[in-house]
Amino acid sequence: MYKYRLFSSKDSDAVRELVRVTFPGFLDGTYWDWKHRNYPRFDPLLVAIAEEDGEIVGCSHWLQNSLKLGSDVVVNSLLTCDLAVRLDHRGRGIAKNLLLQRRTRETFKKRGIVVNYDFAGPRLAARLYTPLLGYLPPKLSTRKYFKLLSWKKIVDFVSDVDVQRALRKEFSKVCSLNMTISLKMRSAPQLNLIFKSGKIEATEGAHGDSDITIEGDTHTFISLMNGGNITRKIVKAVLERRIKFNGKLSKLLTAYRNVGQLETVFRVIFTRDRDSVLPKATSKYDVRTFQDGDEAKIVQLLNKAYADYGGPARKSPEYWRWCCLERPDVERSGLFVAVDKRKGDVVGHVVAGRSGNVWELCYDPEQDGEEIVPMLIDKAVGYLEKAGVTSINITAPMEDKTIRRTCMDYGFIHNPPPKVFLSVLDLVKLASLLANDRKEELTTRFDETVLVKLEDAPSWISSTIFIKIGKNGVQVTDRPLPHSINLETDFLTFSSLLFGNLSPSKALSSAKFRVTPSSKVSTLVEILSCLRMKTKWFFPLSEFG
Amino acid sequence: MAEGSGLSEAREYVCRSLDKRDEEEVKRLVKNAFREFLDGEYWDWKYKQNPDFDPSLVMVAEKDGRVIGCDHWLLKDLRLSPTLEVKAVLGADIVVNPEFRGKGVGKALLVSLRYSETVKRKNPVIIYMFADVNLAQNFYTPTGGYIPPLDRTASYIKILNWRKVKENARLLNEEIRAGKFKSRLAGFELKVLFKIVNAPALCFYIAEEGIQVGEGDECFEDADIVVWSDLATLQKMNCKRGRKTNLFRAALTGKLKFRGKTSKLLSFYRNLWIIEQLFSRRVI
Repeated sequence: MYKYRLFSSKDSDAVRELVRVTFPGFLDGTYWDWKHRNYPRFDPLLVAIAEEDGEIVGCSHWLQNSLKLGSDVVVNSLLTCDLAVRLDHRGRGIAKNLLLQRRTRETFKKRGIVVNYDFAGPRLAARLYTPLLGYLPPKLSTRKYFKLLSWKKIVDFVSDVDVQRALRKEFSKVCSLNMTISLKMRSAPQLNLIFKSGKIEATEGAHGDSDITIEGDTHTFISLMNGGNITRKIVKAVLERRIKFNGKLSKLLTAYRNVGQLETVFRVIFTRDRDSVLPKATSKYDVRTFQDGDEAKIVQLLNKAYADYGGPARKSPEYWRWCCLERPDVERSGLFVAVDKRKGDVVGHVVAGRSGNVWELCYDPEQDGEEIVPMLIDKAVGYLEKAGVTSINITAPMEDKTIRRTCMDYGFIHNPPPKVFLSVLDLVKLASLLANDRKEELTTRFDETVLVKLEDAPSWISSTIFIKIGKNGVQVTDRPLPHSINLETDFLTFSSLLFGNLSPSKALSSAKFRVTPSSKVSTLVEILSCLRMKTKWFFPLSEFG
Repeated sequence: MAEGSGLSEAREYVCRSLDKRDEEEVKRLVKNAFREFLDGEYWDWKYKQNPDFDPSLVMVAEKDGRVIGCDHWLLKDLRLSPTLEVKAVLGADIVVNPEFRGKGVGKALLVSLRYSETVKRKNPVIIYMFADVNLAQNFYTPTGGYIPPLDRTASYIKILNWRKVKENARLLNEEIRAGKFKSRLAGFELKVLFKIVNAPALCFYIAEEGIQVGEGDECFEDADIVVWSDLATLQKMNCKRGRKTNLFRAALTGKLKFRGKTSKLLSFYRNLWIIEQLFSRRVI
């Protein structure tokens, strides 16, 4: 239930803030003080307040001044201005009630007010002011002249990460049109809107790669954005030569086919209407800085997230503390943890170092990564920007589309990762471990002993190994055993095969294998296929040597 | 002290395990090799404070009482599949004093470590390391049989500013002031603007007297040449090999676009070495 009352001096801060938030870019706190508090004829009895549970949710101001109605007729008047209602309370009749507050004969009579006037957009006037209060537009001789010097506000709006994400989600089709539309409005810098790679980008100035150029005057363009039948308006403007489209026919046709969505995108961008695109739902998750005791949960999370990848096995929270927390370029303020608001569980973390490296970025695969990842990246990027780093590096598994997409939203590009190389120190033991890991499959399918003769092996690798597979189990040894299959190959081919880089059939077809007897070729291929690692490898940046 | 074995040829140096008194020399050696990456503090953290650190897995090559090379191994556990973990070593930071490179010191260190008592005792089955592809092809694969696994690590980068390019320009200006490029820069004047996707705009004013670099709002709009590109393409330009081939390829595929008068573009192409110098150090 809203309560309406008059302004008192203790409301100043709340009203100032409400007006600042409602009219961003135009009114900040200083401006409100100058316009109202410091106005010589400021009357607190002419400022109406709407509140709910003691919190100010709306306000309306009247300023007293004089208006000249004719060459000799000057009357006292009221200017209605800065009517603001908090976003989450709109549509509940608050503006209407605020406008009606103190609108009494007594108020006007006491101050000798004859006329009340207001500046408003035609749509708002038609919807609110005229039906409610009977406002009428007078005959105006006022001409407004306007010159646009920069599209900075538009460019900043479009490059805002939240807006980017929302536009991509809402207008996915036009985001992938792969075209650049340049607006060359008379007496304004060129504005380019690039719809490419699933996102929208805005740039100012000459663009070497415009697919469609729209030339015309600002007035015509604004009128196109003001609703109504866009196709009809465009055709009319083109016929009247107020607007001109240049570009390849195929591109113009593509744009025409998507005119509905393009118009909405243009309208959102030009009105910088965040509310129409940004999701209003509150997040399930929260991000906070690291706290002692989070280590164990983080280690669990890493093990869970990368369970299917080959790579470093996590040891202990102590190891993680050394690896991340005690790293020379890591401060606690650069370490963020995402938690489930309701359960308090750790669902993600990011470790950002002042060297510009994001050492770890990980989230629970069972949680909503689309929500967690942007929150974590946002924190890390914000922290590193403040730290004044030159560039930011992030690594993630290639399959992680959420991290990839979020990185792209934040303006990251792909970069070659540090290359990892593996070699074998003890081939007998490695083959034995792999064979025992697949013991069940091997022992049920095969009953063979394979002799592997290796050429060009490093001095520490034995040049012959025997793999015995039978009902009693598997045995790998370098001690001679009677064998049924003889394989001759080189060390690099055999280790490539074990590490999964090379398939046995490919090795065979490229003549890197010599198998005797030839009747056992297919059996050997099956044994080696069973032995080889199928794991994909992933190394978080914190594990790079 | 475990002396390296497994090498039959007579050597002028000896390979042995790290001793406490070697630490400062090793730190210096590592710091000089990885200038921007490892300083003393970093070495202490990476090895001395590492819960997995074992000094017997750091091999040093010593000649006349001086450490001329070192190789660090760290014991790790490596997951080969969801059900299989093995003992492994991470081959980290192998450094040889530039005076002694090409004499087999690196190989001797690697082999000595492989035959060390600690490795025999702990019996790791795999060794892994991170290296430049060229170095791996020329040294690690022939020496130790290293191969790249099916690595699914993706890396992403975002450029926030061009401070490193500015630093390069400062160093280049010092050389210009010292008269190094006097004949090449005589009468030369060019304004170049780079518009790079997802990075701040970057501009160079190159003249006989020196180079001025600007970024973001500092950039001029009246450039003689405007270059449009993306970071990935620029990165390819940064490779030492095939720079010009990459340049032509990028221009032909539309990944690199130029705008400017033909005379200015030719002048830009002829003096591409300046841009190469400005981007020569790692800036991305």
